[in-house]
Amino acid sequence: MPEKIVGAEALPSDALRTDTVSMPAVGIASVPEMDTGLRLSMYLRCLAIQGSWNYEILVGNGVGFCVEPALRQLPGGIDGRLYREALAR
Amino acid sequence: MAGPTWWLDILPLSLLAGVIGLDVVSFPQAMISRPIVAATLGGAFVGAPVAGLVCGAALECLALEALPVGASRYPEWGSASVVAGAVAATGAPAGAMPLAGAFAVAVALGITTAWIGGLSMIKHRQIIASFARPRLGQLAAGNRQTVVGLQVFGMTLDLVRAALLGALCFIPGHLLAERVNGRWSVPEDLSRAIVVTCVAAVAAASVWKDFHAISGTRRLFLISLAVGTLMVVLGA
Repeated sequence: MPEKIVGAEALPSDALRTDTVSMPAVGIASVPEMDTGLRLSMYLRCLAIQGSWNYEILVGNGVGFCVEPALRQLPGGIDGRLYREALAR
Repeated sequence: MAGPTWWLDILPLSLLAGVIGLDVVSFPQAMISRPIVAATLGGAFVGAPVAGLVCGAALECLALEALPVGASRYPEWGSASVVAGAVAATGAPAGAMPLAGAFAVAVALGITTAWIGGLSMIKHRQIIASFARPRLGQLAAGNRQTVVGLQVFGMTLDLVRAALLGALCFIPGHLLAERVNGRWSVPEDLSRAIVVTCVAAVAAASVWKDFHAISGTRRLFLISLAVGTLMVVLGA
């Protein structure tokens, strides 16, 4: 059972978001299952995580490249706002 | 009369050097770029895997010294070992030890190529950064094409870098090894002993450093030494 935060009722509805961008406060139960193909795709991409390593953005682009297949499952899909925001992070 | 055919090896060797060079950092880091593997493959591609293996063992002793983590700058031993393994095979029949002249040239060439390869990796990373810089806005906006495109660009460039390095270093290396083989006058055993002593000194220094830095290294080293010695004795 999630822990109740004292005084949370007085806060604006979006005040309990976990970061500075608009990540929805979805429950654990709503996380979609990742099928084997998706896991395999992410695993193979992880082997290439340093493919665009450079002295400025380091491995940042590689991390985005690895998790990109899973992000497609976010609400709105590949053209959705959540997908773009997550990929940008 | 058939002319020399060694130049036919340039294309497959450069492709192998490209793939092995890619393994160093970009994809998939499966340790096939370790000198002992890469040089054996390089030797095998020109028909003398044992010569490549011997050269790879020598280069592996040198490569032990480098710790390729993070942004550290280090020699690129992958494609260098392919070149060295192929050069060590110059004049050696399949299944035979490398000729002394070619072996000495191969080890020296391996060191030089690894050094040039390390510099080319720095340049490669700078080119990726310059490619990414104008696209930072698109990356910040979560543009899928930009993220995937940057990754593919980086890996392709790495493949091309290593392949070119392999071809450009193999050609002079092979020609030099052929000339040196014809003029080498130092006894074979003495030649090999000098090379092996030099690389063993570097390896011993590297291992000694690890003894003091990582717990359990001494025990693992002794076990490995015992197993290796047993395998050599049983195989002899």
